[in-house]
Amino acid sequence: MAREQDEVLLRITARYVAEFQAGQQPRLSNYLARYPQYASAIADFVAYYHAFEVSVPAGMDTDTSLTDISREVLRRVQARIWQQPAQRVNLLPFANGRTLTLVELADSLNLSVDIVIQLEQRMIEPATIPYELYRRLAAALGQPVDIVQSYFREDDQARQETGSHAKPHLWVAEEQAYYPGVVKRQSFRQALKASRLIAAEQATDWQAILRHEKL
Amino acid sequence: MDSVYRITGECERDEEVVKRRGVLTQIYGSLPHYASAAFWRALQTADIPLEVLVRCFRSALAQGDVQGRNRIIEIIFLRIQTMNEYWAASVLKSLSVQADERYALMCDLCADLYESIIRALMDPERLFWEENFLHCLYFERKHVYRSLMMREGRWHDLNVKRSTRIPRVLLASLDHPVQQMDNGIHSFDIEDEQAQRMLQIVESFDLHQLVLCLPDKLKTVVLLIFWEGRSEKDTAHVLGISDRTVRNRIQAAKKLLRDLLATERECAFYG
Repeated sequence: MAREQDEVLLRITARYVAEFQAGQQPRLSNYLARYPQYASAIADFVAYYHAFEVSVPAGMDTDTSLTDISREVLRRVQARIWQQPAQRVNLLPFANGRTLTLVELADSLNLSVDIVIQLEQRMIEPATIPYELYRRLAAALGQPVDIVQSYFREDDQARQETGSHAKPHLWVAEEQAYYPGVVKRQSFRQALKASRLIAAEQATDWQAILRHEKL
Repeated sequence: MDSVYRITGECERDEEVVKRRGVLTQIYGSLPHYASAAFWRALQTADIPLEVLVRCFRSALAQGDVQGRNRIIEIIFLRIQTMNEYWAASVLKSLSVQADERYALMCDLCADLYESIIRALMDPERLFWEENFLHCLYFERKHVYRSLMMREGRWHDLNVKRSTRIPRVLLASLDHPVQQMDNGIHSFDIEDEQAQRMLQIVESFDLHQLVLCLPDKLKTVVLLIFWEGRSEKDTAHVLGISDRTVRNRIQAAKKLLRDLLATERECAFYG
């Protein structure tokens, strides 16, 4: 479901909850009849709400420290989300000296870090990359879209001409790490599917873009 | 903030919503200078709405203030941790799992939930978090609950690909020796035991929990008929389908619910 529709659904169900909490006994049938396009999602939420949420105390905590579970879980989650490799990337040699962290670049592309790494390593078939991603890359790097596209295509040509061990043009700025050429490329769609870090909403957005661009 | 309000005219007219937006904006605007000592003191008071904390978190994120970001996240989780742990415990109550497994599952549930909350807060386009935090939290918890049920092989929606992962309860059952009678006859009081377990399963579920696992189309029909007490005709009218379709869906739902209870009985038996 598109983000805007999600937002509408949130508003509709928030109204249901507000009515219920105010003791007004809202009728599910009224909501289903009024918003037929969201009927399934509303019913799903209402069933869930009455099954689990009604009994959860809504009062806010006044704790001064995290519980053992929360502390441990939060530590694990933060490590997973934020302690990504902090190396600087300089995706294109003609990026006017701009440098971005992987996380910053991933955020600006609305992608996960693991896919950005694959992009940087050119492990994704250029022909399968949606135009929208080229556009966002161009915006992030301050370059015209066609230059970004041609850059990926040049690399594709270079691979074909010089074999799979050709040194790629992309570098991690400080370390100048060399990515081995023997890599099996995959489509952007496959990369999305295989990503372990991409958020569900991001994946949905990109799948919609892929469908829109017929890729 | 304007884009968030591009919703149906009906919502726009909701005076309560408009009033609340105004109040939240006012509170956020009246906070002391960002990162000052007074700012942190203000954030730690219990009367700062969670929605305002979300805006502060996003502000910290935009400024690249890592310490501030972490501090605000901790304040947010301090405010919701009891609620979340209560929720996780009540979700697990509906599953027949062993005590030692329960704690691990609880940690898994909380970890999934915390991660999805943080990712949502990091997304500046998810503006409803700045307007109704608790309601967004319900949706995140619903999503996490569904993921858990799928992982544990307990989601019966035909539209959802069933997980190939072996449910923990079945794995755990492999470690349990078959109970035998002392006299070596190896007989079991299966009838009574199964009946007892079946009863426990039905008791531990309520209609909503059972319905949650049904495909969407069946869910709406079951809720309208069995929960709201509508007639088949009324239900057909509300959903814009024929009476016959309603009856077919009820039949399909009954079959799935029977299967679901049988699975639960199996899990309870092994568990």
